[in-house]
Amino acid sequence: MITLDLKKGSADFLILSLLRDEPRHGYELSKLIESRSGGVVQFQVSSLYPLLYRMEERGWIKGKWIEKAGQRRRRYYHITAAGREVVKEQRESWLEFVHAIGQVVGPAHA
Amino acid sequence: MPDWSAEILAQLAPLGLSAEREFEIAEELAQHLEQRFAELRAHGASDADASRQVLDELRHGALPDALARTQHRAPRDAGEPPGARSTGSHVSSLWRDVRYGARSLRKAPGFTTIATITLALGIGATTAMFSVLDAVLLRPLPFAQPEQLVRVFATYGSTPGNLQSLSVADLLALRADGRAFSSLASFRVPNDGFSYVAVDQPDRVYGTVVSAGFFSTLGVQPKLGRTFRPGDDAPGAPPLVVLSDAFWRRRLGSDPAVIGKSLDLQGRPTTVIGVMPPSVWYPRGDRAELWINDTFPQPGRRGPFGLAVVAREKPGVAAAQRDAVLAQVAAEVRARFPGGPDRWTFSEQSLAQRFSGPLRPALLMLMGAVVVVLLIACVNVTNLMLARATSREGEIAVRTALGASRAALVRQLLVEGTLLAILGGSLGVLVAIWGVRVLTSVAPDSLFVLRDASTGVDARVLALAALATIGSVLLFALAPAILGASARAIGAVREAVRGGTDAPSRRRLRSALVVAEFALSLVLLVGAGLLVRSLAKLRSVDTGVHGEGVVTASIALPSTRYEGLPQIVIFHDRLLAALRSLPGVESVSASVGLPPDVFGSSSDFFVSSRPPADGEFSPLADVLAVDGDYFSALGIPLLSGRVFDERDDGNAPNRAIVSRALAQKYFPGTNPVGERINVGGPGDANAYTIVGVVGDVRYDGVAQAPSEAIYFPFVQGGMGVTPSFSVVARTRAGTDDVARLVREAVHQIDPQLAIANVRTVHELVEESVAGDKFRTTLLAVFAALALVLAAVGIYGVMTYAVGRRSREIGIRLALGARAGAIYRLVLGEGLVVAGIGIAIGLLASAMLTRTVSKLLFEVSATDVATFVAVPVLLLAIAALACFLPARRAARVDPSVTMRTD
Repeated sequence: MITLDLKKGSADFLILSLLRDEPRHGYELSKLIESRSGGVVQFQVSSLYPLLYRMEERGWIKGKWIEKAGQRRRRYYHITAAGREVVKEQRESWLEFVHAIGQVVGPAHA
Repeated sequence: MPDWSAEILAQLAPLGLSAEREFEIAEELAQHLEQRFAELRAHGASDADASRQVLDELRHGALPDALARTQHRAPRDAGEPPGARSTGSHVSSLWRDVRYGARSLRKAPGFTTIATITLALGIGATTAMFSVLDAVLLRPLPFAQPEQLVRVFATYGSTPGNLQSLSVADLLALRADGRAFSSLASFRVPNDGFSYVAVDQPDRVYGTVVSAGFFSTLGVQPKLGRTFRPGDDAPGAPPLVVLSDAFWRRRLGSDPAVIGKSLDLQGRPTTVIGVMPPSVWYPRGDRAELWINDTFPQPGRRGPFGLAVVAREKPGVAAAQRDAVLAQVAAEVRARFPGGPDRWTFSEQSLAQRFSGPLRPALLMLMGAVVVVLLIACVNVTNLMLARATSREGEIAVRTALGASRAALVRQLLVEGTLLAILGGSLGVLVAIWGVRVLTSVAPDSLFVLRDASTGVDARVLALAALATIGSVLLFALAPAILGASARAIGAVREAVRGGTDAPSRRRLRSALVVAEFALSLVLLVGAGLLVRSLAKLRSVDTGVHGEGVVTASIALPSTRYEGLPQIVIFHDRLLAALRSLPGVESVSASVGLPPDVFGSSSDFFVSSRPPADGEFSPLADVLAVDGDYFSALGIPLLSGRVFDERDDGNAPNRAIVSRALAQKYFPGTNPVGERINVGGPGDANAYTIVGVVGDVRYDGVAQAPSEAIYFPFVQGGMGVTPSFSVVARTRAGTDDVARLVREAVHQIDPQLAIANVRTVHELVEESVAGDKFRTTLLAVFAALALVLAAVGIYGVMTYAVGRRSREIGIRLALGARAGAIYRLVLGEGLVVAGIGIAIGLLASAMLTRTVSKLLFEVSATDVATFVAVPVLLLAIAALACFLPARRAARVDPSVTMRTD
């Protein structure tokens, strides 16, 4: 299980990365994170949405109510230009970080 | 499955979000929880287990706290969430808006105070002023169909505006004809009123002697009894009186059984036939105490004159037709009484014009001032609200980011604006009420209608003024919503918090408003300045007398007990002897005229050696019968010859003293002493020998040229003697004591005589300029108001501009700018704005002051001193108003402003 501290710093990054390809709604995001991390990272409703709203406020993502025929409207989040910038930056620094950690702990298959 | 929405809403409640936002969040989260519930059920959990699990997850991590943190929300008790409301009734959310609004006004005490004062003055002062103007100028006269009422005059020669009073012969001829007017009536206004004795206490009352049709012509009804009937003015009709409401209440204790009772008026028992309502004051205004019936014997000649005539035009008779009829009637009068002037006719002037005409220029000027002050107040409020809007952009942006809907924002701003409007508006109403009270109590006699109980705050005007100013408040209260909410909120937050510079367009707008304020203020100040200079000149006019220590009082001898000259002369002798013996009295006199504006009468005269040719008009002079030491009592210098003395008694030849103006005009280059003049007609009986020349005195008002005057000894009983006169006493003692002693002396000689108008000469002069003083004071007050508002306006704008530019100023200071440079920067910017306004105002003033030239005495409408002094004053005020913000700017600590982000 990833510690809370790490999660906090990287949660924005996870969400932005997932929104890079297509708009998604909150439940979808929580499921994707859970499945892609093999269940290691879990977002519950009480922490996911405050995070989404804060990112929206920062102008990284934008929520929009979308109605599809025969369905209730749902709020989909899509990434903004500012958000893409953030992903790019974070991705770089993240890779640097991972690389640095790798240098310290050595190759996994050494 | 539980009701997720309810559970979520319960958790959101403490956040106090807008209802809209709350429901949005609830909807989104409920969908999530529903799906999660379905997922758990699909994995085999029971209904109850799945529910418990989902609710746990919802409650885990304290959603409200997380949301509150997200939104950087201040704790609830430190401030109601701006522009937001929780689910609750509209009333409670409105109440919250009100509390929030009140708090935000309290947090900006400078803004709130200035806005409130501006509103109060704008609404209050303008309403008070307009109410007064309305009462005098616009309110119709209190008569039936006042537009049909006219005054009728005799016009001699072809000079228009030459309006002379009529005679009994004229009145009877017009009344008999009946083609031009449906009714007409005459009135006379004895200057000295009537003696009235109630329970052995003599008093003077003021009233009018009227013909029978007076009240029916005006179309007014009595509240008790009746008015005069046809026949009440026939020769030998018994004396009757109609009382004013004021007389009936004050002197008769509102006696309901007064009709038929008898009053002792002019020494005659006079029967009360009616009481008029308070609205009937014509023609004496505040001195309308009673109306007595005139009686008209069949005239044997056309004169004497002295009747004022009021008439009601016959509907459907065209003006040209009426003129023709009037010319015919005049021709009939000439035919019946030949020998008089032959180039005259009847003319008419509307009563309304007659009444408010002389006041019109002054009142219109004041009305203009009202409009200008109202404009300035609106401009100021607009400016304040705009400045506030800009400074609140940040706050608004934060609220928008927090999810406050635009509707909620607009509502909040409106509530705040309304609070301000209520505050300023209610103060304004108080100012208006107080203002009307003050204005009516200090108004001069010529504006007596104001004392009418019905003069109050005019509701329509109040509504108009309130609408204008409060309208500006509410309109510009919304500016932040319009400016802020539409802007990209996040960008604005950053900008606003960091204190970026102001949008140039808005700054230009505010500067333009200040320019307008200064221009308007300047116009008012120039107008006020001209009037103040004019008033100063009026007050310093040399009336021709040395009035210090001089007490005067007026006395009217009733004709019933003082039938002819001998009785009048005996009374004079006894009174003057009594007054001379008073301690401290230096000289005493009796006269029919007094400076500055009481002249006895005027008469035609000519130099006896140069009688006028046929058809040539003789000049007119003021004629005054004087007694005793008139010239020394008033300090009028003797320039040549001698003053009257014991030699000039009833047995001596006719003698006269002339004023310098008359002497210089009609005896140029020679000394007239010993010459003879004819006064009132040819022949030796009308010839007077000039024994002296005295200094000029103004008897026609301080604004008029010194009178060409001829003085006669009272005792010779020739020209100018009337049963009413003034006593004059020069004293070394206090004037108050002398006034009391004069009363006692009169009372000892004739206990039934009343004396009135006990005044010092100084008071007479002050009273004569009371009208000028009143309008000058009013305009000056308005100009001062405008000045204060303009100063507040420029102060507000400059303070605000400095606040916005503190970063820029900080950078300049950090880069080595001296404080002096900062002063120059701020003052320079403020003075440029003020200067543009002043320049525009000067141009406007130069064009507008011509309209007040009628009101000016010996001051040009483009008086250089005023046109220089006023702009300098305004610039000084502007510099002062900019100095305070400049000082604040110069004290900016660069390290603080630049670090602040």
